[in-house]
Amino acid sequence: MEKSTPAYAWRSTSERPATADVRWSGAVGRGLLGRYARNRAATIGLVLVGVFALLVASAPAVAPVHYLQVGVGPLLEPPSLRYVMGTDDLGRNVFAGIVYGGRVSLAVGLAAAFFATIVGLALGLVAGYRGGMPDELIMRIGEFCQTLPRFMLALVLVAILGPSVWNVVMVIAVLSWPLTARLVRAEVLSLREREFVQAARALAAPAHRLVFREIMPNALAPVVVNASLEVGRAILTEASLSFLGLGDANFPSWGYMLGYAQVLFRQAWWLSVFPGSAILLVVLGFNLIGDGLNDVLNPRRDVALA
Amino acid sequence: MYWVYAVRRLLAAGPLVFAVITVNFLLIRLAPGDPVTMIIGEAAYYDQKFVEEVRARFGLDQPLHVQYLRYVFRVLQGDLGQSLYFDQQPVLAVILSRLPKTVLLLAVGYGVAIPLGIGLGCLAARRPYSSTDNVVSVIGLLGYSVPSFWLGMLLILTFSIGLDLLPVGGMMDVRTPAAGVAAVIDRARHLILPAVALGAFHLALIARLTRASMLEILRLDYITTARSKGLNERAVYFKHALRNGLLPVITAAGYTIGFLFGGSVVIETVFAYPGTGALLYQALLSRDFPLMLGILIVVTMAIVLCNLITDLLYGKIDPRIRLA
Repeated sequence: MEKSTPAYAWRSTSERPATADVRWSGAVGRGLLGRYARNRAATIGLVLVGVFALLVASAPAVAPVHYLQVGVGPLLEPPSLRYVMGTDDLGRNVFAGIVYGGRVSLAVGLAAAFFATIVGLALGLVAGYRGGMPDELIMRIGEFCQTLPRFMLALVLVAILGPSVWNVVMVIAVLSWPLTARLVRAEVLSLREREFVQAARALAAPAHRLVFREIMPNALAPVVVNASLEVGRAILTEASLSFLGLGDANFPSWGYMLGYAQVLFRQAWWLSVFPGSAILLVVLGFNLIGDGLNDVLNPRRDVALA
Repeated sequence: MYWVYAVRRLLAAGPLVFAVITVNFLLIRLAPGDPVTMIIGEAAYYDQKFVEEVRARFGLDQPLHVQYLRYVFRVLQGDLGQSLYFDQQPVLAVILSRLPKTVLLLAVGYGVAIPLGIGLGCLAARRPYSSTDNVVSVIGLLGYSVPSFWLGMLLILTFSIGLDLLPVGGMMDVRTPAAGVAAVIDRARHLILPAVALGAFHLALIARLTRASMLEILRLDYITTARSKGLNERAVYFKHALRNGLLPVITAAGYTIGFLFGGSVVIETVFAYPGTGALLYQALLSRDFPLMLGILIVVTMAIVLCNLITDLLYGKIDPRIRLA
């Protein structure tokens, strides 16, 4: 061995001591997949999300005319063979709304959950690993964010900043990271003192290696579970915002359709029933996936809620 | 030593109140445009002298930290400014006239959802993976996934339009007398649907949480000990397991009060219920910033108060927490 190579460098992942939690060998991966597939509810979740993802991805094919196009069909036509989900009072095709609005709802949900998770992961790692002042500061801010009436604050923030897709994503993400941060911090606190991390430290591994190669991979399980549930929560928040007219008017989502239906839903049930069902099914899908991942990744722990 | 714990919790709420006021101050700064324009409108563009006058009158010519301190003192004295939409009425008075109605709605929704959720969760945890458990799990998942305002719309379609059993919205019928038994019944009938729509999410959350928590507890050694002592299953379940199993549930119940207020915005809008949630929506539509921010402050204070009560209750139930 060359002198310049630091001692920790030859300890590759596969040589990890048996105390390390997860070894991502092929066999383990297949075992996890098998366990997921045997979980019927989780598979239903995956199918639900998959179907909507396909529908949304092939939007121009299944609905050639965009939802924003008015006067496509007759006004307030109930569901028929030609307009399977009916039309609204501007002659817009509700089915096209489901397909194109799904793009917005899913994109906002995924993006908000992604940013919330990344920020929460980073801050959770810092708080858990550093401790002291940074920890205190991050956790206090997080607690504060969780005390605030988050939906009301989101409403006011979007009203002030202006209702663009980007603002909606950012506001949801900024108000959602504390849960991830708290989960990560708790994991890091217990992992930090474990034997395999101490072994790496004894081999003079630098901090970034300890954090990113030893601690983080083992702290990801609850993060992944929460991210899936977070997508569902973000879609619901976005729906509520656009329902109140605080969505991006250029990118109408399912929530917008429900808000639009508010005046007419007593006469035309199809205006509210289809977009609402779409939200319910997609959010249900992500929640089922989250529960399923939780069963697989940490079988003895309950799902992180709220 | 309970009171030491209580005082410490009380003191901890102080910084939170300041933080809320600070956030609100920053939000005012974030709002687009010159505040003077908001006060006197378009005239601001024509008369520079008048603009400076107004700026001085409202203290907007002062340095930022002076403005901040003034703002803090005013808020602490209960002065939240004047509403732009409601004819320059004091914001606090407008909010306080609506708050009891929202509190009534939330209390009814929450008061039913929490015990029912705990009951369902316990029922499910008694025989995990039985058909009872499956039914509860499905209820939990649906309630956790459904947009509450859409549930409200479906309830209106079914019970008000379809079956004509309950009122479509509002808080009372103009035809019923203002007082007496008939009035109480009328108000109760108006509360049922919004309370259900609002409570569904919390029912689901609490049921899921109770089930998970009970299953965790029932695996512990002291439960095995209790069973091996020959205690009957009911005593084990209700005396030994439930006490500990409920602790995380109480925490969650306290911390979801914020969700409850958030939900009230959409629910009160759907049901045209005249509470603070609908008021916030109204403020948004009319871009009434003082009213918006006032509602945010008042609601946050209410949440801080609720969390304080939860903490104090928690300390009473679980003596260990006082040492932390």
